[in-house]
Amino acid sequence: MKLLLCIAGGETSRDTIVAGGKIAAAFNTDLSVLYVGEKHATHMTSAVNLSRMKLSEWKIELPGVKVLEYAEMVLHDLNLLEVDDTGEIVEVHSLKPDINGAYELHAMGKHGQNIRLRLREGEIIDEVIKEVDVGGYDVTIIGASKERRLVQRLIQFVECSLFITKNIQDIDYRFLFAVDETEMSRKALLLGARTAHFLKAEATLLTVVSNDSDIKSGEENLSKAESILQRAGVKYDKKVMVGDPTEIIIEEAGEDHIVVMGSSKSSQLSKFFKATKAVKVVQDGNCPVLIAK
Amino acid sequence: MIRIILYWIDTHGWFITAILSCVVLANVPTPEGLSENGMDVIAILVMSTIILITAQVPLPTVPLLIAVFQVLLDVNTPKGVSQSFMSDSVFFIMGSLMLAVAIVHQKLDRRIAYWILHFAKGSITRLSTGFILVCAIMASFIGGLTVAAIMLPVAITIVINIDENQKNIRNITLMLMFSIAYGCAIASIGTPSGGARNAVMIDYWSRLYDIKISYFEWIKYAYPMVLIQIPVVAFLLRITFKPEKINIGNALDKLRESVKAEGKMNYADWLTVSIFLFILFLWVTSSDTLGLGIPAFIGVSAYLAFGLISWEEINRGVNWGVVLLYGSAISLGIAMQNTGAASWIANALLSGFTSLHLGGGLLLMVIMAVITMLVANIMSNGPAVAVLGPIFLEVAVLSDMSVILVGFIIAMASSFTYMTIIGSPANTIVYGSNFIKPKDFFKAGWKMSIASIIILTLISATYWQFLQ
Repeated sequence: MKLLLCIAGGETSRDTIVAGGKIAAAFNTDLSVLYVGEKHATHMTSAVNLSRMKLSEWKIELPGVKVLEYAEMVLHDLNLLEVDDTGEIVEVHSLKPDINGAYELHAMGKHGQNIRLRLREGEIIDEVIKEVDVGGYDVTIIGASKERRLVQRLIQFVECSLFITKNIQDIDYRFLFAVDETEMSRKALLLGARTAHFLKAEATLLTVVSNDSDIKSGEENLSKAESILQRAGVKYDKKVMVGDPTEIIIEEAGEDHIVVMGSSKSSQLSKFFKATKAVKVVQDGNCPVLIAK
Repeated sequence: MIRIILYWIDTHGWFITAILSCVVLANVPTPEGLSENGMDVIAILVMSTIILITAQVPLPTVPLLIAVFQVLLDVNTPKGVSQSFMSDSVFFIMGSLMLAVAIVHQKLDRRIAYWILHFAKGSITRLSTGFILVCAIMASFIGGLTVAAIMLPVAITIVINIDENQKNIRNITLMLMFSIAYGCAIASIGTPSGGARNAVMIDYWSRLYDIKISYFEWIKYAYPMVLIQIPVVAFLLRITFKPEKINIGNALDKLRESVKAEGKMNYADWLTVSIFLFILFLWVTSSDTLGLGIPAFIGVSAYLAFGLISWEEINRGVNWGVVLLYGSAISLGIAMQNTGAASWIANALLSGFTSLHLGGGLLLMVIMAVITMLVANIMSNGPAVAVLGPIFLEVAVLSDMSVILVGFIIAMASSFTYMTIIGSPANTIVYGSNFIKPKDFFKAGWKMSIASIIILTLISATYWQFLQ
């Protein structure tokens, strides 16, 4: 598994870096930390490049490099990075430009994982999409935007599972699995169950049906889901509820659950014009959401 | 596949709107008094402006589309378009950009830093004034882009030496950063080589109205404005960003000694300065015969021949898209004039101003200056002159005003880009340091805007009248 952790800045992103670092440590997986610096107007590119050349002559670092250095320090504090006998972090290479479209510092993890600190410039969602395309990540961890359109673009166009760290807190989260009959829901269960197992979290299985006559089919969905959680060794309870799925998921999740759900089965065209359930849960809810793809 | 198409549509909405606007405008019934080709040119102008402002596609797309649509809409022939793209001014812009890269690659910044630190004598006000002076004088000849690139590391090094924690010296930091940005802004109108848009204006005068303005004549009109604005910038920055009361003398002395230790100017430094002074001499004395582009080319050739820079470094540093952009701007300006589009828009503007009792005289000049300033802040100074130049020059003709004075008004007001990051390359460079926030541009920017408009009005009403 390969994780991409997107951060918005230095100290302000400490909680996100810690959360991502812990997940990477739990899965013992490769981790890339991505910081997207501000986009420059295209006709100013040469001006910016000339300025950077002079800055490097005076040994002044690029603005985004400080953010990466901070992220490296936090990962070091989490004991995620390999260090040599003198206590220095073991680097495959120091900061280099133009590694798959980004500045990159490549370090080694404690268990031989690749830890990459990457700096891109441009519009955040566009750059995340490009990064996922070149990096082949399985899960992207990213904060939630306040703009619905951006959330919708992120969920529709990023081609890997997403963990959206909305209102992340230093608490023991429960997992809330929003289950239905779709293949995406099953994928979400598999991914979520592994994550819950590694984080030693308990879970709730929830299925929402539109009226009382559908309760039985809801229970059938749950029974398939139960076997996955049982195999992963995750403790759980289960609920079948009647009503609007989005509202119920948000209400049940509160602030202390991580919602796990599949991406919508709707067509790309439909997703383009209409917000899916996942978009609404991210936008209107107040907790982290894991969306499987 | 559908995902890729939808993603493209999602991220290129404004670009699609721009192209559709062009197609629709070119096909709607032409308003009275406007030729069919005039309408086509307005359609291209609208499309280009939308693409420039929204920046959803790379910048060189704009000049390419300007050329393409002129031919597709039958405004000009392929040969006519290509000829309209190239002129002495475009040579000059190309040469100036190459010169800028050559100069930035030298180590002159250490010597300049030493001079500023010596001038400062431990005072933050003198330090800021030193930056403004150096930026203004240098930028007026070699352009704000070059000077901001050279001066930014000097300012950052000074700031870091005074206090590593930026929160403790926020106002001092802002004062120095804006000394660079605004110093470059006020200077960029000093000489034709101060900014590419100045060359565009010279081209408009020459090709649209057959008026020749030499390098020296430009200085005669414009340089007093630079000199008057230097103390104004220093004063407004001082009162806006009241510097923290801390002793900076020791930090500056330490830094001065470390810069001094790097030695005096060497052969390459002297040669760099000498070559540039020679180009300047040619611009001032021979622009009538050599034009502006050829002296710049002589200079670039000398830098290359003496090994002061390699072609690869020039190639990496010059944004050739900018050269294309200015070429296309001049081409579009000529098309606007030839098809009567500029005259039609100017007439419409003028009747609008007249109905608001704003037509004619100094007030109209002020209105044009304010519009230019606002547009320059939104779409940056060069494109603002390119878009507004042909229209406002035509307004001048229709209202019996001096085409030269209105041209200077447009060129100068386009340098009042104090309020946005995108306004000028110097603003973008300084903002790129991450030491300032977008809202900081407003703090002193609005005061600078008002002051500059007042100074420009006074100069046009007094000093320029003597020159006419």
